[in-house]
Amino acid sequence: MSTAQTAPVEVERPGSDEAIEPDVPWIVIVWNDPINLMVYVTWVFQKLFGYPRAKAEKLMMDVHVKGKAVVSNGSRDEAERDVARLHAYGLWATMQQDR
Amino acid sequence: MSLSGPIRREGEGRFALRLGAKDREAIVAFTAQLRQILVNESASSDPAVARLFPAAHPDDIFRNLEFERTHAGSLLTERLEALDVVDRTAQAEVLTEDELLAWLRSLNALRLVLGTRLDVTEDSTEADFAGNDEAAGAFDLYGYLTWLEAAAVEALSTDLGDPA
Repeated sequence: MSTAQTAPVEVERPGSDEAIEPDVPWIVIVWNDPINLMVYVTWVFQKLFGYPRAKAEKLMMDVHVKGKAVVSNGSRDEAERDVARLHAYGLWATMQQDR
Repeated sequence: MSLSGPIRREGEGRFALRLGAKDREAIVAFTAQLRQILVNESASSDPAVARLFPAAHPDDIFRNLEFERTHAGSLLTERLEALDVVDRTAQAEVLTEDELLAWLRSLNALRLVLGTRLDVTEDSTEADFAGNDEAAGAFDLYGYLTWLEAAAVEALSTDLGDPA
């Protein structure tokens, strides 16, 4: 994917006994389906994420040909917001941690 | 770009809607059906509703419940509001961009419902539904909605800059 993701910086916390859950980012995946139109999926990626046409088309083709594409990433809240917006437009979106 | 299509950008945030009276009547009938489904059915009772509200966390039932608690209500409300906009503007000659977005989302939801009911594939043709009048009629409607949705996308895409 062409979305660059900066790895979170590990911060030393001396004195803390708690196991710190690593801040693993979440990825939003759009899956292929036989109903949504290719031009519509491209348009939704442009509309929701502000991606240029070429990038939106590449993601759409990945969905179409490979069966899925990672379309955005971020914190859990950010990913859930993106999934909800994609569902609002009828795309089949899920999310998972990018381990 | 088509100059004679059913939906055409006319200017800043204005879209001409050229549909016959029968088409407009049919669209209002579709939105009534979709509203019934959204209000009366659930993802567990109807695969078409499950398709409209997919699981965000398919492998984690608890996270998915949290997602639904946060988002399902507003997603349903938005869908119903979009249908209201289509009903209110069903006879309009001109739509604003927000109104056309409501049309687009409603047309797409109708296609998802019909396509799920018919179990369409990317290669489905009329021949697949020959011999079953009800399914053949539904596939006809599906094709009509596809044509109208594609016109809506084309009209909206003319404003996104960065043309192909």
